[in-house]
Amino acid sequence: MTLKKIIDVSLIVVLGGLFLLTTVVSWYRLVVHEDFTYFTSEEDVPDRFDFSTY
Amino acid sequence: MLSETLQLACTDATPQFFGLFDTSVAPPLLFYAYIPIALISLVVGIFIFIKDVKGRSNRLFFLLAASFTLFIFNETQLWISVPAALVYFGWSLSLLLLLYIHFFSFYFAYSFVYGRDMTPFVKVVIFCIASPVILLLPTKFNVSIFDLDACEGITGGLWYYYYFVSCLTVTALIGLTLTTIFHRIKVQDRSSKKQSVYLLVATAVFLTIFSASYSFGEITGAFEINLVGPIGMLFFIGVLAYLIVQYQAFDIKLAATQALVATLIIIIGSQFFFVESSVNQVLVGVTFTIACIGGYFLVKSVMREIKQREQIERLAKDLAKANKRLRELDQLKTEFVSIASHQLRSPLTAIRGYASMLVDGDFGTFPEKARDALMRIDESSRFMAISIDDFLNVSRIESGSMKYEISNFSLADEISRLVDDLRPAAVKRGLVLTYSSKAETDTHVSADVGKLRQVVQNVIDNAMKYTPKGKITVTVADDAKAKKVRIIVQDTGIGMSEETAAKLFGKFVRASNANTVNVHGTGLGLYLAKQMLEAMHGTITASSEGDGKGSTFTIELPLAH
Repeated sequence: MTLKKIIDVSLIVVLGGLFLLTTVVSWYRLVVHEDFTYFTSEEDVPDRFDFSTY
Repeated sequence: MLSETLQLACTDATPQFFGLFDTSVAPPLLFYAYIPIALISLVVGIFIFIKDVKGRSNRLFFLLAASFTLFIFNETQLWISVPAALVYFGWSLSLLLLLYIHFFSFYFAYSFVYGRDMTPFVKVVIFCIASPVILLLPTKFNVSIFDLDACEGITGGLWYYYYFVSCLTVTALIGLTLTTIFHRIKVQDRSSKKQSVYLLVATAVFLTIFSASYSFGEITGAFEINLVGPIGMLFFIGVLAYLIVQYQAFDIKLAATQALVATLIIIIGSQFFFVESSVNQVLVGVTFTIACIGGYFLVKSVMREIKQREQIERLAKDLAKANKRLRELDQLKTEFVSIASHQLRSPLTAIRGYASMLVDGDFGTFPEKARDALMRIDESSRFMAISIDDFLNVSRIESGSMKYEISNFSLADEISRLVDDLRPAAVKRGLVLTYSSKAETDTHVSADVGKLRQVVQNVIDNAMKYTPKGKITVTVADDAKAKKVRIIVQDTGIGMSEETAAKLFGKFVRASNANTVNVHGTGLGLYLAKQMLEAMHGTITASSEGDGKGSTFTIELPLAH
């Protein structure tokens, strides 16, 4: 297998795999388990989240 | 039901559609700007992909269109979803899809312009640039936290890196465009260079409009700006359609027309779901019907045009093949005639020489009957030698090996001498051969004396052969104004029809009444005369008032400067 072919296959695996992984993991974590940090007003922002950095 | 399991809901919306979506919270423009453009790009992408599933540019454009469509549907979902989890899910996917759009845009433009794949080095560089996004995508650097009140994700630092990547992609595309304009890329021809520049500019404009609108939307929080983004894709698709129609890019004129018609019908048809008044529904119905009928005829006409083009291309290919084969055969024939003539000529020279010596009495005297037979042998071998010479000359002319020794000489003097030489033969046939000069100036011409003598002799010989009785007049006249000199050979012979005169200078052509007075002749003499004169910038024409009314042959040559 040439270097070009290795790079091409890696690229397809990474791009395709990443999309699938992100979709599945995000769906499982966010939609199935509703596992995410949220706030309703600025006072509710959790302590561990430094809002000013973003 | 998904709507029952999800507890957290955005506070600014109430679920209507499947208990998950609220279309009223989204600006109406969303459905007109996002959905049709996403559908157009997807349909065009599919048609281009179907046309050549193995073509690199075709595959890449399909992946770009698919990424764009996914992104647009994800964005639409973000606008109308009520459960916070779905909105968060959409936010976490956005950055990845944006990255794909940039990657496939650049990859597609690169493949289209260069006509080859990116080098492994370029791929590794792109992968390194994209790796921070890939590695940090599941972290809070992507979406830090969710604002339930505003129903939006608070973007992390990774998004600033994405803004940098989008600037980098646009800069790279501008760089590629400038390189193409300034000839540094080897493109096949002028039209493919134009195509490349158009496509690169369109990709750069698309990504600039797209990225700028999303970046401003995210930074300022005024997400309505995002609605401008897909217009960039519309511009991109428009340029692509222009390339397909104008330059047959992807060779899918028919597929592109079908895609355009299908998209148009889908868009118009989708209006049924948005318009409410019955008047508008009727208007949409009429437009839909017109679009269907017009689309049908448009596709049919394009199909017909393509079929005709294919037929013409096929015929042209067959014709070129046949032409090539004919040239080969002609060349073979010329070579064969040349070899055969040379082989015939050598023994014939011996036959002619000995026959002539026998007739002249060099080997003693012969009885009258034998002498008569010898004279026939001598005469026939002379005709045969002339015919072989004609064949050889034709073969030389057609193979381009005929040599002309051009010199300056007085045409009137040369023709006068030639007529004097031929007069005894005319007298022997009971004909009167006269010469006169009507030239008012010097009749010097630049030509090959030997070849010109051969041509004029041939014409006079012909006149003698086809004139059973009467006279032949040879005249030299000049036309100082046109800087030309003419040799006119006029006889009182069998003449010819207008049709015969028109085709007399063709190969192996003899007058229809020629055999009545002369059985010898190959039909090559006048063909050779014409070819030789043309090589010396001269012309030859024949005219006659009809059968039995004599003929006139006119040879024209330019006067020497």
